[in-house]
Amino acid sequence: MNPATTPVRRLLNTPPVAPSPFPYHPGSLLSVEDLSLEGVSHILRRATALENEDPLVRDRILAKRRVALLFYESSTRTRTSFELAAKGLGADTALVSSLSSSIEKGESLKDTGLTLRALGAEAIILRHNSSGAPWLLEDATRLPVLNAGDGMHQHPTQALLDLRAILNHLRPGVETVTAETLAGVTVSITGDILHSRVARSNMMLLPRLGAKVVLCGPKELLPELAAAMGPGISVERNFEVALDQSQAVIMLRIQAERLAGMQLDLEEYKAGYQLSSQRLAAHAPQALVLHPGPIIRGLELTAEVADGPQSVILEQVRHGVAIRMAVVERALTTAKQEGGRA
Amino acid sequence: MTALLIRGGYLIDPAAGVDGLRDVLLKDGKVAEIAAPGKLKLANGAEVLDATGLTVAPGLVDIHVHLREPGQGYKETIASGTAAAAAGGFTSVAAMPNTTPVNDSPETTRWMLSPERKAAIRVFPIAAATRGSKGEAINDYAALKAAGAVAVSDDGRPILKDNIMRETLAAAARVGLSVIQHAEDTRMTLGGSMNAGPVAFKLGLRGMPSEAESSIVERDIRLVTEMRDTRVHLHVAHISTAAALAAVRQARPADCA
Repeated sequence: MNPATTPVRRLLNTPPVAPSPFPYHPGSLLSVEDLSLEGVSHILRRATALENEDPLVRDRILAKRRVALLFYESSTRTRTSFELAAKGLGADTALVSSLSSSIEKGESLKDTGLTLRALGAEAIILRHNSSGAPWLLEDATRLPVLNAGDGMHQHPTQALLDLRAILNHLRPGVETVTAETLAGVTVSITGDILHSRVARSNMMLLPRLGAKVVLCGPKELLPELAAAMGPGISVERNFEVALDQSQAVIMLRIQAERLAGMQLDLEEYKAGYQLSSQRLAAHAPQALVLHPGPIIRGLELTAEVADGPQSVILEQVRHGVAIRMAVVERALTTAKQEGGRA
Repeated sequence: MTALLIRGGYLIDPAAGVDGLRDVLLKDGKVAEIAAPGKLKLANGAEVLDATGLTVAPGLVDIHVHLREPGQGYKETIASGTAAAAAGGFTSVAAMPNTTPVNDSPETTRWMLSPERKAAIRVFPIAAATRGSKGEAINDYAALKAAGAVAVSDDGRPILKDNIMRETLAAAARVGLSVIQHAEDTRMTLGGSMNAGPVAFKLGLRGMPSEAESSIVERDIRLVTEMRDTRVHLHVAHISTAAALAAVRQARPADCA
């Protein structure tokens, strides 16, 4: 036996919690919590500048740079707008979706990420059905990772584009945001909060700009503890009371794919929480109506409301391209600090 | 006579109430003397082990390990798993039955205990309570005990049916085996990855309610209490909620050993 030469260190006190090493890459966008208000302002300013830029000039910003889109869940808006955003800046994009790729054969997220990096990807845009997957991918690849939605957790670009849509109407011209920018504004988020990454990202972002967030929905889809997520967040079970206070109304889809056996009486749900023209006219005649999509007409909102004058649902989609151009540019032009946090 | 002097170590022996710097003299593999540092005379020919900065303790026993043999030797063998345990100061481990196949037979139990497995330390197999750990048919506990099993458990697939759990407790008591139950009603934790609460909500992870643990612990304690048989021994594996802990505390002073 080999006698020990180095003394064993005894931990007498619990060591302090180490600061999170995430994001490893400063160009990553994993959660809205990673962004300072200055970071949010920068993205908003770049979104406008890039949107207004001559497409032939814009095309040179990321000319021939390589961006991979890795999608484990279906998507229309997010995938297409990320792709158009990257291509609009001149980047080459490659799409890998869980169907029709080696993911079907059992390849892990880590191995898929490393393969994309070996193929020359300089950033990966990830949508995944597991909460936290983008953190794992970033840890494995150390590339900038853009979270395009992870499970029930975060969807940061959706919150940024929702913010841009709200600012556009309620604070036109404002791109540099502060803790008071949305003071006096109440945004209600109604529907399947429990399963919604959009709700989580919005409720973590909007109060930092001074907005109040009112969460609304039945107990099964909105646990009471959601109100404890941070300052400025409250829970209101009565939809009409929530509407009365709101300058912006975000409606959410019932996520059938995440209900996990939960039984929900849809007729009862519609009676309580469907946004109809009558409800809107009676309780929030001036409010903006937002929805991250996909909308289910006749369930969480009626067709009249979706197509009506208060709806900014399609404007949101347009803002999505601008925001994602800014975020992709940020991913590929923010230098990784040498010997820094990485 | 062979002698070994372990010098300069920090001795921890809760049974003897020792917790401090001590030298230990072993003769023929048994503790002969314990004394303050430097007080022991060096016997002729004694080997000396410098344990400065190390902990000296009786061989540790881990009553809940998951060795991966049979069936998952690509992850770990009984030889490599017990070598790792030995490196950490363990001299005995009790091995849970969630192997491939599940250890639900005297043959598998004997296979695990065979010298061919090259275990570095003592291995005590815990056999499955039911066939295939499916929670339906009770195994032959007498035969499993004769083969070397020290307890029965369905491991991470806890016995949910009241009648099967009652039968398991009674049959194990008859042959003098303990029943180890994983404290989780798995019907209430589908897809869950952490305790339910604000952190789970914020992280977008499905939470497991504390009732999923306390309800099964309380059920098992009720079954044991109803049996009024002092030979019944229930061991609750990995408690993590205050309610389940309180239930066990409350039950212990009563007949529920």
